[in-house]
Amino acid sequence: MTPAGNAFSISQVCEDAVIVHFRYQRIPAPELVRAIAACRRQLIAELPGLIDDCVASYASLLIYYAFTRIPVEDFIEKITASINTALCAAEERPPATTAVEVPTYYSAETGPDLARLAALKEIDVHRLIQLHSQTPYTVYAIGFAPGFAYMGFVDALLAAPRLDKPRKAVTRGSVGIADRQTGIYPSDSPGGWNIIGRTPLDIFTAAAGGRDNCLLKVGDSVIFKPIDRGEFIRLGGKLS
Amino acid sequence: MNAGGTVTLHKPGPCALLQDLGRKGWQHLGFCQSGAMDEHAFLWANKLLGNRPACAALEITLGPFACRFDSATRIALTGAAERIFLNGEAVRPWQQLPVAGGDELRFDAPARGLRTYLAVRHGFDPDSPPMGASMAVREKTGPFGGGPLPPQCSLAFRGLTPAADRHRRLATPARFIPRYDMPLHLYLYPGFQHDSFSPHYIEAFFNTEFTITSRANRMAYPLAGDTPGCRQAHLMSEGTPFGAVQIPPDGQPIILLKERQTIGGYPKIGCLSHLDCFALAQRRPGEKVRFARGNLADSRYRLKTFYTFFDLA
Repeated sequence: MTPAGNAFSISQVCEDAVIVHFRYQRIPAPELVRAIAACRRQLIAELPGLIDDCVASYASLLIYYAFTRIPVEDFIEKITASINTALCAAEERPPATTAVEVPTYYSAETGPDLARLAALKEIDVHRLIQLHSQTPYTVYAIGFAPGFAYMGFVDALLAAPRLDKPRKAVTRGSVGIADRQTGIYPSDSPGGWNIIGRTPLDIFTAAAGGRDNCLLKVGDSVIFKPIDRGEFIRLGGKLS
Repeated sequence: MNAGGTVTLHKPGPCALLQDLGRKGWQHLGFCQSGAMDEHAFLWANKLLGNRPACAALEITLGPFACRFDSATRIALTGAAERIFLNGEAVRPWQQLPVAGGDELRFDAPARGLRTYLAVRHGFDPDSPPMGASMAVREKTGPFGGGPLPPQCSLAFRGLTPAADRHRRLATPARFIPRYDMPLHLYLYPGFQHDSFSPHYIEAFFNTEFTITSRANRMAYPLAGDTPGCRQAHLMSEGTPFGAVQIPPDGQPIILLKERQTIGGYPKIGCLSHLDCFALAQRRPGEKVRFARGNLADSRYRLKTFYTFFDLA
């Protein structure tokens, strides 16, 4: 069995990279994102020494390859086969999903935009928290900063544009909303997302450490669990 | 190998950084590629010393720069700096230079070009972090918290055993030394969302002389020119390679370079050749560039030749 012939397309973009665009309807489904993550794993396992970097984002995979070692046509042939195999396998048996629970203290002291966003949406704060924490999200991409996961998609009622003026400093662990995406700031940084709470978890401890210290990866399923102030502090959260 | 030496940077200039050829295998976690902005000058500096091509060297933006070596080694300076003094005596860039313990090196901010590379025999030797020696300022990652290197900081290098380390005194042939004030045409390979731009915009893009804006840095070179704005459909963020040219709604191109974010949501009109990006890295705010249509197979062939010359292929 092979996936539909038009399930993806591969384009050369520069000397040392090709991009794979996967076909989707309207918005990429979590199953597609997980299948793309599986393709990425398959490519790295099957073509060691040829792939320098491989960045999954929504419905695309940017592959940096060792262009001096293999003609581009041969490389595209190899990755086409590899991606076909991975997509078929994912179709027959969906790849295991890593579920991550993120305890989050939603409050005025950790979420400077919580009350404003609730007022804007004409719902009370409890309803907002409930809407944000009731459904699992999928990690669609990691970027913007090391370990910053773009997760989607939040309830249409919570969709909110980025701040007109980004904040100079957003505290590490802050949970935010931008459009229909939600994300967690892995470290203190500037940022323009609407901040509604904070998690005590270390999202990313690998400033110069190992590659495996990132809590989230593309394709993971994430659910936010509301916690109170006491538990936030017990779990190592810092208020400031 | 002798015990190590150090060099102390009395005046590092506004942005001196340790750089190698950048990180591999970290972009999926959101770490930028980083690495030397102008690989042409960087690789020559290592080659002149017989170093491995990826040895960490100093990338010094502008100047003035001054440093002092506490023990003997050999060095090479390439890139922008022209008026260079070793213990007050003029010395030439693009060649190997012996230095002794106590020697002082300095140069003024160059008159043209932007970045100077200073390599030492065997490379600078930070504690080999897993991501390599490249510093990333915006991200605050790499040695010295991402830099820039502060005045009076010291960098370690491995010492020399003269007998065991004979090496020809190499210099870069003049024909390989670029002039950084020559007009620069950037060859663009159309790709990504190229076909979503209007023919009107694309025509303007290739016929406009752009000015490098003062916001240019290691992350990106935003340009300013007389191009029209362009309406755009929403784009899902996707990976952004070195040299990708983003076009935001105002129509002013942004060229993504070594410290670019790993993914981006602006449509891209195409990608520049690596070699042109290396040349661009020596251009300053206020200088002019133009785009021309490039051929990817040719660019790839030229880049392969380039990396083969530097023992990287």
